[in-house]
Amino acid sequence: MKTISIAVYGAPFSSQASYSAYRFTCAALAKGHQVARVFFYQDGVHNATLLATPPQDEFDLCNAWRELKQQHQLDLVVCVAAALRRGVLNESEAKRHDKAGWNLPPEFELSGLGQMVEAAALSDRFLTFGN
Amino acid sequence: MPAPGNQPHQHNPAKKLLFRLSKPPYGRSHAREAIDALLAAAAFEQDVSVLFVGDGLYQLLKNQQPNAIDQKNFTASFGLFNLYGISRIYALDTDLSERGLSAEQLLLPVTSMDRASLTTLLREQDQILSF
Amino acid sequence: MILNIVNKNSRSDCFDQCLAQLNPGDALLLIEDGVLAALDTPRNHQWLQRCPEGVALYALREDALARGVEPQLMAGFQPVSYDEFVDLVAQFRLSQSWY
Repeated sequence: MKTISIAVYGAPFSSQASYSAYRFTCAALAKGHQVARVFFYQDGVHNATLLATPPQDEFDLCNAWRELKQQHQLDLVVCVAAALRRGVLNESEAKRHDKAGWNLPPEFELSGLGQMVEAAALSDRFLTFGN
Repeated sequence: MPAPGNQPHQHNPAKKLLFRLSKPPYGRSHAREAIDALLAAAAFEQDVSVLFVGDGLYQLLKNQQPNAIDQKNFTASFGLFNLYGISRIYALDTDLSERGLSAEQLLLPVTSMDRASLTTLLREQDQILSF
Repeated sequence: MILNIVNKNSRSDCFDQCLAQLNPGDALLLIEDGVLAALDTPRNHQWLQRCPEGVALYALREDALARGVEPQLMAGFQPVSYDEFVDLVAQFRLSQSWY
């Protein structure tokens, strides 16, 4: 049994990176490994939105991450600096920056790069999925 | 994993984290966000090595003027490498020569290495983070 | 040694850089568009000739199926599932992604 952390650098739909990360995460959990953290950085922050609305007959990856968190002890962390640049905000950041709305799902947490460093330092394995 | 926080637990030894930077600056966000990530790792006292490969070497050219395209000069953060004790900075000899670059022309003190030395370096790491 | 995970076809910068850095004892896992580099074609035989002996070759089956190329993988390439992808990650102390 290994402790595995995953970094996701790709947005859903635009590239397969985040989907591959999701499938890998599911398989790792199914095999009994501990997935310590999934860290969303660069365009990966776009996985963390309440507002993505794919057609009904298409796979909803943003929702899939949320369901995965609801079913497992998973730490879904989004880099706050990368998120803000790309328009992914929680309620408090939206208020702070006087923005019209916010979109971060409750299953995700905005935090700093220190969380990615911690994941890399404390996990047995650290995988990156990018484009 | 211990409770998430922004600080790796102090009693854990520093891990050897190698950051592989392969993209040129400004065309995409990879270069900028890679530098932010490795600086975070150094700030959190990990044992950071930086490997510039392929077109990633163009991050190190002098006389960059990104204000011409409304971007920040991220090379300003290279000044922090010294402050954070990042001294293990590498490039492949063939990547340098293919681009007509010598280590002396670059903004950071780069150690040129051959493939065999690079293999040795990689195998010494605890994690390899690809950007 | 090192598990190398590549998601682009051959003759991309990242594929070429990875290929140049492979050593006996390493593994190469092709995922996403990278599975196209595992197809049995003259173009792919060219890069395979430059691949060192002793590199284990894998392609993610789901990505090959998606692209309609699963039956066409080169001999020497083992199709793997996501489960087996996880096993490879557990097996190799170090992994490195190329994109």
